[in-house]
Amino acid sequence: MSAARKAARILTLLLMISGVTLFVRAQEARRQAALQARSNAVKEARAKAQTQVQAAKADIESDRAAAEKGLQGEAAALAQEIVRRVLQPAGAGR
Amino acid sequence: MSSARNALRIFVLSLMIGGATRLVRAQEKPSAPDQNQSDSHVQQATPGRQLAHGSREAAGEEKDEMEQFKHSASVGLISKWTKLNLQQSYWLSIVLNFAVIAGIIVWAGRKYLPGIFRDRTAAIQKAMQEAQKASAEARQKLAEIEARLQRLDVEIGMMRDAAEKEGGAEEARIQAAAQDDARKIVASAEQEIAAAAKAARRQLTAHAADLAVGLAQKQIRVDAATDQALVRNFAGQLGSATEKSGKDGN
Repeated sequence: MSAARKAARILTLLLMISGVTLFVRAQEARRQAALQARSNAVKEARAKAQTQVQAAKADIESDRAAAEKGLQGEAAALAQEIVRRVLQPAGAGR
Repeated sequence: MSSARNALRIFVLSLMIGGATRLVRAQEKPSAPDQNQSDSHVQQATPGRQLAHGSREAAGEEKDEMEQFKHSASVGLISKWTKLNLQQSYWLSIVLNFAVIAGIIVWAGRKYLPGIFRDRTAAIQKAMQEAQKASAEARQKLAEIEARLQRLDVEIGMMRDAAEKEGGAEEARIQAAAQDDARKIVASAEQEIAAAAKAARRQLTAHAADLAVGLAQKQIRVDAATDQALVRNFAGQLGSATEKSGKDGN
């Protein structure tokens, strides 16, 4: 094998090795980007869920307050029923 | 091979020692009587004269030595045996001496040299074979390296494809894990909302009960007759319940 062919082969080999190195670096960069995207997605989902939970709790609280107001009217009828049930054995309902 | 070589070396060394001994003896004999005279002459003379004197002495010594050999007993004996004169006997002795030494050298050479040369040839052939073998192995290794180099681009391509596939799979895994995490977060939020609603419902029920009971307490007016009627009714209910439980026990 002549020296020129050897040199050409070595040069080709070096080019291949540098190409592989670049490819591996690019792949590592892609992997890091995917991991970062995963982290961002999880963070975003967590924040969104927290917001939804807060909003749902606020809705529940307002619904509860509204329901308590509505119970004022029903409570009187309920109290009448309790009184009737309690005094029924004595035969004296009020 | 080594023993033959050692024997030849010892033989040559002994010949050289013998020759040197003879030469030293021949030089010592004539110079001994007039050593004092020559010393006094040398001390007085210049270096050029000393050199000329030395060369003359050496020539005289050689001449004396040859004369001594010519007139030695062995030459005389040969002259007597062969009926030759002293000069012819001297040369015959020289020739015989040379022939004996040459014969010994030829005999030793014939005896030991072929073996030595044979061994040397075998060693050279063995070394050549080893060199050829090493050269063949080196060529084979070179061919293997060449083949690997030629396959290397294919192997690198395969490695690259495999790495790309693994990278894609890893990316898909990461995305799936992210979706799973998001699903878990949503489920947790839903559970939290459901728990809050349940608690609110419980509080509302309790509030409604408290409110109704409070209103009922305010509305109830119990006089003595009603109280007695209630106690009687309660005692009657209690007695019937005791009788019923006694019958069930029997």
